[in-house]
Amino acid sequence: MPETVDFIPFVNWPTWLEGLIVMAVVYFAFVSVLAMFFIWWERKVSAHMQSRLGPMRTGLWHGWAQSPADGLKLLGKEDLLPDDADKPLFRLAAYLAFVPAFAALVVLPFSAKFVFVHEMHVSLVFIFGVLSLEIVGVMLAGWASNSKWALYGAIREACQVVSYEIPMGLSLLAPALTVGSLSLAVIGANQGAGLHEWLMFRNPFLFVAFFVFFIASLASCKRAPFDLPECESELVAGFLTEYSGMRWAMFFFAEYTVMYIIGALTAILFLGAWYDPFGIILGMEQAGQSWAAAVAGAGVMVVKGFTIVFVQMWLRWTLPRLRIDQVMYVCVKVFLPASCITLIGSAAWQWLAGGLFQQITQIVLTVLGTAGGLYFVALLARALVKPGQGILPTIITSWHAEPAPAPVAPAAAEEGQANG
Amino acid sequence: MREPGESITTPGMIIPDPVNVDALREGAGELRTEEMIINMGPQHPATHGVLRVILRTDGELILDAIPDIGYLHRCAEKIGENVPYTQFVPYTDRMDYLAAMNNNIAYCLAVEKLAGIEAPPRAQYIRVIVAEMNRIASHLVAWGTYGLDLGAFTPFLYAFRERELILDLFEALCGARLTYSYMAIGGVRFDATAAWCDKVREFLDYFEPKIAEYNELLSFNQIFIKRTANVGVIPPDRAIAYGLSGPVLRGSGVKWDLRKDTPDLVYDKMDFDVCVGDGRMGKVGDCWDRYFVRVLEMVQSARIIRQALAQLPAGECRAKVSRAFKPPVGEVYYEIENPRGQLGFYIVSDGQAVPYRLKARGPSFCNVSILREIARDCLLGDIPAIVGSIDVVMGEVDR
Amino acid sequence: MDNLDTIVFYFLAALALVGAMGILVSRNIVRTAMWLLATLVAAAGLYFLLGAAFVGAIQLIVYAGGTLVLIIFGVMLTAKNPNVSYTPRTAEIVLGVVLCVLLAGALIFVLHGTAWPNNVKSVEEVKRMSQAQRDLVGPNNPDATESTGRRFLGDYLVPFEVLSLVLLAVLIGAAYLGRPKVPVIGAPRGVNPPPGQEGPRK
Repeated sequence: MPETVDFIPFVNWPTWLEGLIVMAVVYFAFVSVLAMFFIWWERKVSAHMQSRLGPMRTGLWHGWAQSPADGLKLLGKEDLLPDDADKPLFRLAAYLAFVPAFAALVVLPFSAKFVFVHEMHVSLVFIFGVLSLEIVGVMLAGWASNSKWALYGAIREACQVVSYEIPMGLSLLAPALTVGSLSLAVIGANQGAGLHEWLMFRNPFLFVAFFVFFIASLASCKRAPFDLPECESELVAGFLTEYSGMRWAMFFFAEYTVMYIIGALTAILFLGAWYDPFGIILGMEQAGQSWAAAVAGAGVMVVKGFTIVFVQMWLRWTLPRLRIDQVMYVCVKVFLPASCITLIGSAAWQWLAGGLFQQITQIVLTVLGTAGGLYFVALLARALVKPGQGILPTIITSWHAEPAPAPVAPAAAEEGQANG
Repeated sequence: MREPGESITTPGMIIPDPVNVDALREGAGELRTEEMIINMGPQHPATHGVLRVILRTDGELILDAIPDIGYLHRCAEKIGENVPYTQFVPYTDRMDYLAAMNNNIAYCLAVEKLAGIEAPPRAQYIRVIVAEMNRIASHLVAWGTYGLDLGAFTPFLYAFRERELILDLFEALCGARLTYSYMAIGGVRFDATAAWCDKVREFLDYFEPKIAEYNELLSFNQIFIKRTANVGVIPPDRAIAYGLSGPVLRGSGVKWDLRKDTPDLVYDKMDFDVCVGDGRMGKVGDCWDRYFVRVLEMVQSARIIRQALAQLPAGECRAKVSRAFKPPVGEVYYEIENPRGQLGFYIVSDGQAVPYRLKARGPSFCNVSILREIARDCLLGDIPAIVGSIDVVMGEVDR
Repeated sequence: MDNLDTIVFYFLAALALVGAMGILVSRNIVRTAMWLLATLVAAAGLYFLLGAAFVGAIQLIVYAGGTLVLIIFGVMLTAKNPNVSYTPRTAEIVLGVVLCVLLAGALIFVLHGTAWPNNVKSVEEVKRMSQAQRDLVGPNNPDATESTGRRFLGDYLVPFEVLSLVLLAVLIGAAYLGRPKVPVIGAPRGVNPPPGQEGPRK
């Protein structure tokens, strides 16, 4: 168990009230900034994928102030309550969706030394348990709205998330089982030596578990192509149909916070946590520069988490949405068996594999995974570099560069006049 | 749980009609579920305007979908009986507002046939060019919004990016970007300049490779195929029985295109193919087929435009027609292939300056009539897929 | 510090009690479920406060999911009016009170009669401990999870497995009750019973 330093060691504060207030403020600020950044980022990512620019005017640089401005606007909006809604529950739902996302961050480590609030021995189970509460808020929102579309969204959310929790939980256990701990700090500390030590590359089952976990996590934080609970083209806005103003924003805060938590969790469980692929940070730790290692590790962690969030966005703006029966099919008939196999497989692997065989497997998987990752990076690079792909065609610029619009032929002009 | 893509109706299963369902459900035992009537529209993101579909649902299962139209009714036909022949052209713009050029042409050709006017050859070629450009623009909207209906947002903006260029070209030609009123009885209002023609070629050079990109992005996306193949299947005989036309009919494998079968303007001088659905991803006549017919038609339209530009003759672009001309007593029905199908105008003249009777046969109006038949026994998520694949424009359904 | 723990404890305890009262008083099935959720979350919070983080987290996973399923049933089975309420009959109230009293008596009897093992601390004891001591039983005790696992799959293997058999029986029973007794529209072949063999009708 590594020694941890809490970001906000509130138990040591002189008075608990002061500590509580500071914790709440700092914490809320962090979550808000994170969510607002992601919203802005998603808008920019989607815009650039769609040959647009996205918000450009609010704030001086690339519309960075768009999210705070939107937040202000939402604060000023009328807080609509449908007449037939179950009003207390309607009000409560927004917070119920938001609080779990908030609470899950508590034990999320940023690096070997930094835990957000407090390190917990079973942080993995804690995060999973707390995140499973988020759907209660969504479900309640849909039900309390007393709208048919919202009810559809709520029921979809319930059946989707309840189903996907199982493969997600099982695939999440595979790395925990390989390391032998439910503590994210311990799981992270086990992957420092380099790319081949990342849990994803430890054995073939974990390799599969990574994909199962990633896709199941998409479904459980209702990101496209699994965004059925709020799918706009079918359910108007699903469970969000009747919400407006700040309450509506709460759901988005929750969604984007959960996106980061999922991203960070994926990074810790499968992608080498806060260690770089070359073992530099581990080297710093071993050399006794633990603070430098912690700071660098936190940076690596954020980069990894944000990369996964970016992939989530990328998928959302590329893929069409699945239908509900397909969503359930994929869960029950593909991911559920796959996650069971990964769990049993990685347990058996612990027993059976070792020595040279283990090393060869690790190297092969590392090469495979790296090649796959590089392929996607190359795709992105091509889209950014190759002209005409996602960049406005030159025809537009050349058209507007013309000094005058194509003059109308005199004969036609006369005709036009004649016709008034 | 049924297999994805498999039809919800298993062969050999008797589907009780709506009344029997209730009777059966009475005895369904402990886990009795209730039906819900739910309004999809007239204000709904997926119904493309103001189509209202009354859904009778059992959970996610759609038992019945009844389209309810008329929210955009503007008495277009009655107006036509009260304005002189030339003044009705702007009203045709507002019927199928995504294909205003084609509407103009249909009306003008009907009046020209009634009055015995022949447009000069150059006008006929320009009409073909703008009609096909507008077909591309219209199919682009259908393509983009179809992606939107299925949850893919990006194709929509790609489609509008390209459509914008066509609208720019139209703006340069006639000054309007949506409601052109470009056609006049006996020709077109403004001549196309050589510079404009070059810009059209430039646009085609840019646009044609994009279609491959569209296919890569959407048409052959596995999720997209799973969502659309075998969904909303219209067998050819039902398609004909319902009087469907356009891509919806051709998607069912019926090779019927007025540009080929009763060629007007100069379509007989063009070399192009009639694209039909072949059931490549599922059954013939499913949503994917209808969708893909539109994609293929964009390629063919580009071909036609290139040929028309190459053959464009010099000369007048408009025959001399008096503004308040009086056609002889008689009646005429004339229809052309609009992006959505056969758009026909039936005009009765009693020799006055205004028509005695004017009736439009709108393709969307006829096409939407099959919705109730194919949107039954599917899932809620299939409804946007089906409505989108029919590609209705409510302005023309309601007129 | 002591202060904070006390306040948190009383807050959670109050939440659990209020939630439990809410379950009894509330007549709307979804609200009942929400009160239940409050109680269960408060109980989880108490576990965390006691340092039993693993139990707390599991409580969240299992019972929050359970509440959710309850809500789904509430929505699905009372679909006529989403804000449906029900009124218990007098006999039901009497029966309920009797059962509650019996249950409470049994619990109190068991609590007093049990000789608690030394390594499990009472709330008061845990509260009196220093941070270092608390870490031994608390969230930072790495052995807690392992020993739980060892006991489940070692000492208590037979009860553990018997319990899962009970759950399996429940699952089968639910599937039996839930199976369609009339043809389901759109169901794949095999789901619907063959003609003439439909189950009993109500």
